[in-house]
Amino acid sequence: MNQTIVALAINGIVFGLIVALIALGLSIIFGLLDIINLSHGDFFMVGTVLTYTTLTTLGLFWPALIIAPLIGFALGVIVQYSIIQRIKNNAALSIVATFGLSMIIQEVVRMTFGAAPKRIMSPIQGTFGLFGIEYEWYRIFAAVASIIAIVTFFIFLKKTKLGTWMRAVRHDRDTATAMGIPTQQVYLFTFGIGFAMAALGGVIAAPITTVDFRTGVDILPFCFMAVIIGGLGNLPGTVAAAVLLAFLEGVISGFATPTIARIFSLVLMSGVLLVRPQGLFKGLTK
Amino acid sequence: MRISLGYASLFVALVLAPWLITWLGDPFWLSILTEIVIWSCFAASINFLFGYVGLLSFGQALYFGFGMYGVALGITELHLSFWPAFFLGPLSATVIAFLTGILAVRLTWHYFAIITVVFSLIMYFLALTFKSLTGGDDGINFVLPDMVSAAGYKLSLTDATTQYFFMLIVVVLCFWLIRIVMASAFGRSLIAIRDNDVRASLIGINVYRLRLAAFVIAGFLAGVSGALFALFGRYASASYMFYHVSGEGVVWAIVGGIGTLLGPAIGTGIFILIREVVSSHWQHYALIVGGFAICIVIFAPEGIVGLWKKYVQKRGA
Amino acid sequence: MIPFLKIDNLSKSFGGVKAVNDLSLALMPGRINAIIGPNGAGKTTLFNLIAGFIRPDSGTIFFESSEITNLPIHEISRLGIKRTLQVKSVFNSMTVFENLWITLSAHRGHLNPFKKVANYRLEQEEVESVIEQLELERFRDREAGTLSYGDVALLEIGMAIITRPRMILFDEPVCGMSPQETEKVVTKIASLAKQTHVVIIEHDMDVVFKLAEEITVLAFGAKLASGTPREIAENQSVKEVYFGVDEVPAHE
Repeated sequence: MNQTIVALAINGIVFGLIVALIALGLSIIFGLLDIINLSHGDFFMVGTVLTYTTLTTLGLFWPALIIAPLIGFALGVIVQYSIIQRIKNNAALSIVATFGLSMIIQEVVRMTFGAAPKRIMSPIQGTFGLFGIEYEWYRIFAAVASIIAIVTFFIFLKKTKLGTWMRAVRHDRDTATAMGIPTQQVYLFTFGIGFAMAALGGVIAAPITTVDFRTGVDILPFCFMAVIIGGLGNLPGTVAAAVLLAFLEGVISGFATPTIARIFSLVLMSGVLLVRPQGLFKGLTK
Repeated sequence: MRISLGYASLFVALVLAPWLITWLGDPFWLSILTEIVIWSCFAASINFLFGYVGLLSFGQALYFGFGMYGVALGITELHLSFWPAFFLGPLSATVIAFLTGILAVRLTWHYFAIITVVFSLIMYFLALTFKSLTGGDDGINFVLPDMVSAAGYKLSLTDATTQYFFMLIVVVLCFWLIRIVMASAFGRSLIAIRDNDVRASLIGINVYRLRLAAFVIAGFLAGVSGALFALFGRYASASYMFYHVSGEGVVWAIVGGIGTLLGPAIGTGIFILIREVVSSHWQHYALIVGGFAICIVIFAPEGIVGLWKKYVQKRGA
Repeated sequence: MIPFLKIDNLSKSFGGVKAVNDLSLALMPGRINAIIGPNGAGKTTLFNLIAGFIRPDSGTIFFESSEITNLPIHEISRLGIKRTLQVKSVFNSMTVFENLWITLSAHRGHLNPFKKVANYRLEQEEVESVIEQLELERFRDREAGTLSYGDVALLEIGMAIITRPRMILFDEPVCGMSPQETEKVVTKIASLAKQTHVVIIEHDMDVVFKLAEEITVLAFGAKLASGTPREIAENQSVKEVYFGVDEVPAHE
């Protein structure tokens, strides 16, 4: 029993790192454009589906790590350009538009991929002894891959011109435009990156989750929780919150049920919204 | 009270519908029309908050669910007869709306929308946890008691026409209530809050309290819808508390026309009709719903009733 | 004669900046008071503090001998203290008539959800009267959002006066207006002063010198000087704080 809790806890951390990657994508869209993107989880799902497709057509897992984010990026740009921009980034209408988009994505996947959930084989087989249990190597890889992706993202934000532009626009849109930053392009790029990160998360998660057209619906609330509890606009906070939440949920589901674990996270989220809307990790903002 | 020609003719059409449908041949459509009537009330609850107060709630499914379970559990656990059970639905929804509203209305905009979803998810998961009581996603079924059963005279919803008229009357009363309230000082104050909440505060309106009142009214409307739906299907299920249900309601309301009286009804009607007409021929009606939602939002954000009003104004000018 | 507005040692900081710095002033009834000062002197912050938009860090505000320091906006409004905003804002989707109506109805606390607007006879008359006063008849049923800037400002003034307030705070009432509109507004404000206490923030010196009988000058969040227009025009430190030159500017 003790060992199961340990396994659940570590699984939680691994899962949390993957969700952190996805949630960061959500956070930059939410933080930058005030848009609640209800289709974000579905891009994670698309990432898992693309992984499955890559595996079945090419016989290899690894190309998916490049292909899926690229497609995600392209789709993100297209969505921003054809939909969000057309409604002048209006927050309320965006909710409806992204909700519609979510329905379309899920249905398209259902049509092409099918309604039956599938599993894929882990590209790294084998386990090792950890705290008295047999723990999969792949999960360690997943955690490391996520960390690398997250760190790369932060470096990009800090060191590159585009990243600096993104931060400037997020901080003060009008001043940024006045300074000559091409805000429209930044929006396009932000959407692209956001979706790409979700898709990448999907690829990393694919071997340890089911590939099913509905997985987006489950992961969306979790991403929002991470963003809110971490603090809107607080990107490191989002990462910390994602890992913490997944860890706590993992442990709690060992004692109670996953449903109760989820209720716990939701109550925590309500508390944050009502009492400390700047999030729990205020001090971590750069 | 002056009723415009438009409303009057609509009402007459709705009243004559059952006979029209029987004449056309397939009673199935009466059932669909009844569903449209029920869900219009749900869309109306979303429109009330968003269109008239400026608060986008993505969690009205919670109050719908309470309306459903109020009726269902009233019948199965409390062994209530028809009318008490029917009142218990909206009543419990209203109480919960008040309790959640006290907290939710302290927030605005995104945070408000998010917390309404969070509350509905919490309740959904709680409902799953107490599966023995609520039946979880599978739900609970119940036997429908008669509406009126006295002196040998029986009136029951098992008769499709009776059911249709009962629900039509209830929902029409709800819409009428909305109309009256919005034409009053209270309703105008809500509009003021929507337009400019700082200004509203400045002129002496207690913004928090009025928003809470509106939230409770919307909860009541969603609860009525849920109660009717439970009676319609003779069952209640936790899955109707999930945010997907709320989301669809938002789409219906916006497509129909936010801030208009009949917009929610029209939006609901369109989407449910699409669902029924399309899904019998083509499996993928979700594409149409999603595509429609996106197109309306881009090309006609004021919704169908909004478009109609613009058209009428142009003709009149 | 007691001051209608008495402020003692009022302070408010934002971040590290003291917007209002230990400010004390007392405004006497019976004349139009103007508050002037360079940008950033704390004038609008002062109005925000009085009207309840923000809470002071320290100090007190008294209106006609009762303390109003920490009251919420809608309560201060109910006490009969009204203000216009620097950025004109009204209820855009409502007509001019409805804007005025709702102002009156909110002030009187009308919240009956079952009584139609059209049935409030008394209020209807009062609204019509104000519309007449401000010569806004032709906009009566136009949505406020479609009005020109000058007309919106007039509407705002209408909303300020319709409840027969005890004090009106005008924040730059003629900002952005044409000379004719300015003329109109100045006349209206002057006539108001007979029934209510009037305090104006204004940058347009012509208007200030035309309307005000008592001027208070703020600089760096504190009171620099106060007196009649004549006294202020000749006050050396006032001239310095504005431009550091030898003349008080005639126009901003």
